[in-house]
Amino acid sequence: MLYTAYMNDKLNVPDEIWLGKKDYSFRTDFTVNRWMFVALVLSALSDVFFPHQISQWPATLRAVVALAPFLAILFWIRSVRRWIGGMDELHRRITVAACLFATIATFFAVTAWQTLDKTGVWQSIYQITHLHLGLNPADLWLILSQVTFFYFLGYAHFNRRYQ
Amino acid sequence: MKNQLRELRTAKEWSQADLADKLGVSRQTVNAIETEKYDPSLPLAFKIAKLFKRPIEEIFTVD
Repeated sequence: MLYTAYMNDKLNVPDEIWLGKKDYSFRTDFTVNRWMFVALVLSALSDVFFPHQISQWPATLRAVVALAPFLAILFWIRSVRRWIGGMDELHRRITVAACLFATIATFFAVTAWQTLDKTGVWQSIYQITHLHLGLNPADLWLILSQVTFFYFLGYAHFNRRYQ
Repeated sequence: MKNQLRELRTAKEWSQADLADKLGVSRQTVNAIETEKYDPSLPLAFKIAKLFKRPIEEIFTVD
């Protein structure tokens, strides 16, 4: 059921998952990224319910609920790997480079944010501006958003090199 | 790395899309090889050589 490359010898192309591009395909986008969506929903649900209902549950059940999004992420990685496997060599190179860039950039962004938090920079900014975003960059939904943002940034950069 | 891909392709009167179809790659890959922005993998280089019935070193030369 997965992946055009296995179904009809059509090569997968990176633009298939870029909304607004000529080659965009909702079907492919859904096939590749549905597990990320599931991870986002599970993460959001557990964030909403954890402090209230779920905190009363037994520890094993809480662990299952907390780790469920990570299982979805593993399935998402498998989908992305298969999708990349159906590309030709240039598109595979560009996409892998973009994925690597997204991973490293997200790592740096999260680490930098938390380092600034530890040193009290955000607190100082809050005291001056009274602007409190209330975001924790280590939240799963925010990490996935950053990975997505940096992936498209990296893809645009690496793709331009071979235009 | 320099290559003769564009000359060989135009001699056969193939479009980039035609060549891409025959090689099983995207048109962007053919264009990137022709403009020497991308060096193909060894399997793809052999495929190109086989398609044009030329020795690989005749199509691809080191700068």
